[in-house]
Parts: sequence; C-alpha cells; structure tokens
Amino acid sequence: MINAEQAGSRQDSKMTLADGGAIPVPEPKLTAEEMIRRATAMRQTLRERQAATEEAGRILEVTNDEFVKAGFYRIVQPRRFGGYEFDLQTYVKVMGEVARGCPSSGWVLALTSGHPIILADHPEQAQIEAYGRDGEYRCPSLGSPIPVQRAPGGYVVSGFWDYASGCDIATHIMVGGLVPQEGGAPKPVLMLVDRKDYKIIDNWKMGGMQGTGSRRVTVENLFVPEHRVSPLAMWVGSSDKKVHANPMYNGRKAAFFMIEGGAVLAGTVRGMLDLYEDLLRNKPMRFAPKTKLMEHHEFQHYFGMCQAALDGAEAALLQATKDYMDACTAHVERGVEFTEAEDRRIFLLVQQGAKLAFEAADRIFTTAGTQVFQAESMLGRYYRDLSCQRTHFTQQIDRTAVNFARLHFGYPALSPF
Amino acid sequence: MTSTPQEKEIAKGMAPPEPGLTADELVARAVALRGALREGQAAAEERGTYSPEMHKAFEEAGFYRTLQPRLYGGYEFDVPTFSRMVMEIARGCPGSAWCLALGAGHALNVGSLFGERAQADVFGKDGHFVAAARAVPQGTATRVDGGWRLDGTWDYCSGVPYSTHVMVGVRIIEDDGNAPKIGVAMVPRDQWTMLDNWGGYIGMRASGSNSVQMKGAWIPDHCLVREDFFNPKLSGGTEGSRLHNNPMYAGGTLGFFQTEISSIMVGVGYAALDEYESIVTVRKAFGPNALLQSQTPDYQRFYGIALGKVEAARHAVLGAAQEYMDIARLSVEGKRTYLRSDDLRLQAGMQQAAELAFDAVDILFRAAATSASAANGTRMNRYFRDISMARTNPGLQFELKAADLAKQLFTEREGKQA
Repeated sequence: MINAEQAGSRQDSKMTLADGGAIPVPEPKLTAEEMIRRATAMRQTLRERQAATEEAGRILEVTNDEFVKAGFYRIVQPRRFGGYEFDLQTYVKVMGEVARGCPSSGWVLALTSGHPIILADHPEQAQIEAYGRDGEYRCPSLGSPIPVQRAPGGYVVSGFWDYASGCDIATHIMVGGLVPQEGGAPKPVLMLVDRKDYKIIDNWKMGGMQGTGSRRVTVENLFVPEHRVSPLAMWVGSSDKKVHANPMYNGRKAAFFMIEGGAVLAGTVRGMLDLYEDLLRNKPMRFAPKTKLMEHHEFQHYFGMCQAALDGAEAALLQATKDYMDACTAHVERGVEFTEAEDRRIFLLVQQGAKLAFEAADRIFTTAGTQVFQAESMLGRYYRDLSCQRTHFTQQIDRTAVNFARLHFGYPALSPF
Repeated sequence: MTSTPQEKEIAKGMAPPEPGLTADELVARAVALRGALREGQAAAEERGTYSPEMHKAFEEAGFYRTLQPRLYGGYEFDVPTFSRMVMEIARGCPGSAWCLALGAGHALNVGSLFGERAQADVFGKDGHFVAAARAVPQGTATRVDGGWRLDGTWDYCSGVPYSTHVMVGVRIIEDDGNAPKIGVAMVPRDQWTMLDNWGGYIGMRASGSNSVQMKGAWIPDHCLVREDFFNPKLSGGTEGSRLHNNPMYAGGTLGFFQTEISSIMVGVGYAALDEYESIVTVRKAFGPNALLQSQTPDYQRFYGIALGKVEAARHAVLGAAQEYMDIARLSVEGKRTYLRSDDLRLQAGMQQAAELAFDAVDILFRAAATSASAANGTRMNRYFRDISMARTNPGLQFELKAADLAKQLFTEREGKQA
C-alpha cells in the first residue's frame, strides 16, 4: 500500500492555482439559444455516427471533441470555473437534442456534463482542483458504494464500480464509498478521483445503449484526501456548506439525477418520432391501394397520439426542472427545507413523463413494420436503446411511488429512489 | 407427382404412430422438453432454428401431427390442444416455438382447403408433414399442361427449415384477359429453395423465418385451390371438413393463425415469469440486512401482476380456440355461419391476449434490473427481444385490425336488417 504522502503527490496535478480557481469562459457572449441551436445542428451527424458509436462501445472521440468545442460540457458548470451556468431548461433541451441524434452519445453527455451540480457539494478545494486551469471537467458519478479505509488525512480505497458511463472521455469520476463509523452504520460518501488514478475494464456488452461505454472502473490502493470526499448527497440530503450562490447548486440531488436521464429518454423517443415521420411520409401500404402511410386514417391516428404522448412527456420534464429550481430557491432564499419527499415527488414526475414517452415509443415501434427489428435498423436501435434505459434503476416508478408515499406519511424510504 | 390410386389406398389406411396417444400426454411431452429447450436457446438463436435433435424429439412426440387428419396418420387433436402444446414449447424457447407452431399448425389448413387427392399426395406414405405458410401472394401461378408453374419469393416463411412443403398465396395468371385472381398453392420441398437469408434480426432469431424461392416450380392441378388464404369460403363447411367428418376443418384462417401466434406469446409470458423467479429468489433487495427480493413486496407485486396478465391471456387464447371449434361445428351443422366477423373477432380477442403477455414481459424485464435484463446473453433479454419482435408482426397490429373488425360487424348487421 502506498502511503498518504505518495498518494497525495499523485493527486496534485491541478492544485497550484493562484487565483482561487477563477477560470475564463471560452465564449463569454454565448447565449442559451445558441447552445440549443448547436445541438440541433449536430443531430444529423450524430445519427450518421450511431452505428459506429455502437460498434465502438463508447462515445467516439470525434463526437466528444465536438461536444467540447460546442461548450456542451459547460452548460451547468459554474461561471466562476469557466462554465456558462445556464439554467436547467437549457441543459434539458440540449441533452434532448443530442440524444435525439444519438441516445448513447446523449447519455454520456448528460451524465458527465450534469455533474457539476453533484460536485457542488464537495469542498471548494476539491472543486478548484477538479476544474483546474481550463475548466475541463467531464465526470460520471457512481453511487454504489464500496468500503473505504481511513488513513491520515483521508481515505484509502481499492475496488471497482460498474456502469461508469463516459469513463473513457472523462476527466474525473465520482465514486461511492462507505466510511466505517464506530458503533454505527457506515457513512456513504462520494469521492472525487482523477482520470489518471482509475483503470477501465471493458465489460459493457449490452443489447442497447452499447455506445455509452458504461464500463467498469477500478482503483487500487488509492489515497483520497479528506477534501475530495463529500456526503453521498443523493442519499443523505443537501450540504449546508455552500460554495456557490446560485440555488441550482444547493438542492437535493436525486431529482436532478433523474432529470438527467429523463432528458435523454425524451430525446431518444423524439428521435424515434423523427424516423416514424419519415416512414409515414415515404412508405406505401403493403396492400392495394398502396397509398403512403401518412394518407391512412389509422396511421394518422397513431402519429397524433405519439405526438401528444411525447409532448406530454417533455412538458412533465420541463415542469420537473422548474419544480426542482423552485425547491432549491425556496431553500436558499427563504430557508424552506428541500425535503426528501419533495425530491422524490419531482423524481416521480420525471418518471411519469417517461411513461408517456414509453407509450409513444411502443406505438411507433409496433406499427412501423417488422423490418425495424433488423439488426442494422436505426429505429430498432432507438428501441433497443430505450428498452435498456427502461431497465435503469431510476426508472422503477413503482418503487419510487412507495418511497415517496412512505416519506410523505413520515416513514423512512426503503431504497434511495 | 400425381399419386396413383394405389398410393391413395395406402394413405387412407394410415394409422398414427401411437393410436392411443391422448391430448394430455402430448402436452405433458411438451412440458418435459422445456428444460432442454431452455438450455438450447442460445444455440437455437445462433442456428436460426431448433436443432435436428430437437426436431427429432418433436417428431417422436407427435407434435407435427397434432392437427393432422387421422385419416392420414395424424392425431387430429383439437385446436386448444395445439395451443396448449405450443404454450409449453414457447415457455422453453420462444423462437423454437414460433418455428414449430408455424410448421406444425398448417396441417389444419391443408385438411380444410384441399381436396382428397391433394391431401393424399402431401401427407404422403408415412404421414410426416411439416409446412411453413405464407398467405401474402408474393408469387405467381401460371397454367401449364396438367398443373401450374410457380415463380416468386416468399419472405418470412417461419418453420421452413424442417418443412416438407410450403403453402403460399399466389396470383393466378390465366390467358383470359382478366386481372389475376388469388389462390393457395401447396408445394413440396423438391420444387423450391430455402434461401439462407434468415438472421440479422434482433428477436425471434430461432424462428427459422427464411425466404422460399421458386423458379419454374411445378405442382399438379389439385395442389392449387382458388381461395383467398386469408378469407376462404366457409359457408356450409369445406371440402376437407366433409372428407374428415370433423368440423374443425371448417374454421377461418385468421382465427387459427392468431391462435398459433398468441399461444407463443402466452408461453413467452410464462418463460419470463420463470426467469424473474429465478432472479428474485437469489438477489437481495436494497440496504443493510436486506431480504431476498422475492421476500419484498415491491418485487412480489410485479410477479403477481405479470402472472395475472399471463393467466388472463392463457384463458383468452384457450377460450378463443374452443370457440373456433364451436362456431365451425355449428356452421357445419347448419345452425349458424362461420362469419368473417367471427374470424376477425376471435383474432381481436387473441391480439389482446398477446398484448397482455407483452405487458407482463415488459413489467418483468424492467423490474429485473439492467444487469439481468439488458445485458447480452441473459434469458430475460432474449425473451424481451423475442416478444418485442413478435409485436411488430402484422397479425398483432390490433389497432389496425380493430377498425376492420368494427366495419365488418356493422356491415354484416346492416345487411341483416336490410
């Protein structure tokens, strides 16, 4: 085992910052509208790269480079640290547009670019280190905690975490640990780890979302200094040590995490609707009179129903971002507690929106014809991607419903979500 | 190709391999094969169909003869028995069941649509008969001396790897200046080629749904009937129902086709329940000192709801299969007619059964979590892929057919009032 001093020297790559971490923003005049426009403009290219992304089993370097250049990773990054600090609606819209072009790339982007909000619970020093000189910060966050050992000035940890979406292009990861407590249950924490300190094992072989590269990351005898550890906010609530004034950074995190996935999910189904529209415009009915599907009364019904369901899904998602910000603001400005029950309520709202999106996707998929299930079919890929997303632990609405109700009536939740 | 009178005598005297075999025993044999089918799922997917050994087992169990006329070496069990057998096979391997059901089931259509001479021909000397069917007329039949020349390629011929024949819809070309009419041709294996084009789909990979190609194939006159496969004339019974003195051979096509498909869907539902049970009885729920998932209400609920849906689906399919038998009987007895709307109505009910089965699989797929459901190679993943693929089948487009059903019913009722 390496000692704390040795380990500390491995972590200091970005520690020597004279000005307390003030980092210039790459494009000071960039607007939220322009950011969304850039995402929309990228959709077609992302579609064309879907097959290659799936084949690579991770986000492509070229895609990542373009995301970096467009500033997508800085949407909700604090201005102080070189980010644009746009609002959550902008974040949701950009993620949705990217996922609409490529669900896997959208997932990686959403889960790595959204996490400045998770990092905001870390001590200021950790954030100064994370953003470094240039504000390059892309960070998956892995909740499933593993045991860590106390060491002078911090902790030592060995082990692995699965499902590290985007670990290949990440600058850091945040990983869950369990700190032993004398005479009590171990305390769950989130530790900030540099890219150079983890290894990647490619164990991601999935029926959908294969392009997310949600691989295993491992660390061995890694020393994590005290200031790089924060309570696992998704489980234990918000921190009172506020580094940023913007209330967006000071809320509970579970609902925000759900909003990340919700944006990708809605974008995925929007991408399906795009393809369905093409199909209806171009494909003739199989039997006489062989008119275009869009002329057929039944397909007109399907299309209208899909549009309605998906619009409903997106409306629920945007309402959830508003409710989330309202709860953060009330907490910071008026001292109204952002309760765990409220966190779950917003979580449920996003899940409910997802249900509507599933409804639209099912209808699209089952009425588009069997050829969509050919291995190379793009519509089939969206469906596989969506099916994989549906199995995600955050998409278990029945479980969340019980937990919300328990919290509402004053009982502890049975599980984190 | 034409049979001699002597061969017909042989065929008429043919007994099934096990004259005393009961319907329950047939179904029990399907249950007994489930384990081997489950073990063989991955290989069957890879192969595109079940193994030659499994084919042999199906043949020895008598599955291919379930609906085949007794006169020609079949067991002539009823449609509910066929449905029960298919459900059990699908519970073992959905793709294999698709291949089996759509190869074994069409003995019923042969027994119904074709005349004695053709039936004696195709059921052959030993009574072993397997036939994929593709009703959509994707090829032509042209008049030639003594028979028909057939050309075309029929896609999605599920069951074809082990088929001795295929039944295909054709456009009949005649020199009478009229537009082509529709017919059904029965074609032995030596007259067609199975294309090596099955694969590249996400689900139901083991269903053996290759295309069949005919280039100048020849069949005798009696192996083509001038019927719309999807909507044959049923009024007053069929030629086959009189030959076999069994009204089962006087039912509609859609009702039976839907029984084949929906029985498979029900089987997939039970397969997913089995798999979910095997997952939740070893995995723990969340938290310290956690109970097994199977001991936790949130995991129990999914199983209970899914089981309820699959049970309802099973009853719906078996009930429809029995009603198919009943209406056909009343029709032959002259007490009522097997109407087009009856066929569409039975289909609609069984489409809803398939939807219930899908709902159940969907619930279990989600509840079993990403590592058990979405990862390649897991059974739950396979069941989800299989049933998702099946849902894209035209026969399961229940919304599209719903308006047809209503329109047909309203039209028939108007006709009665007029």
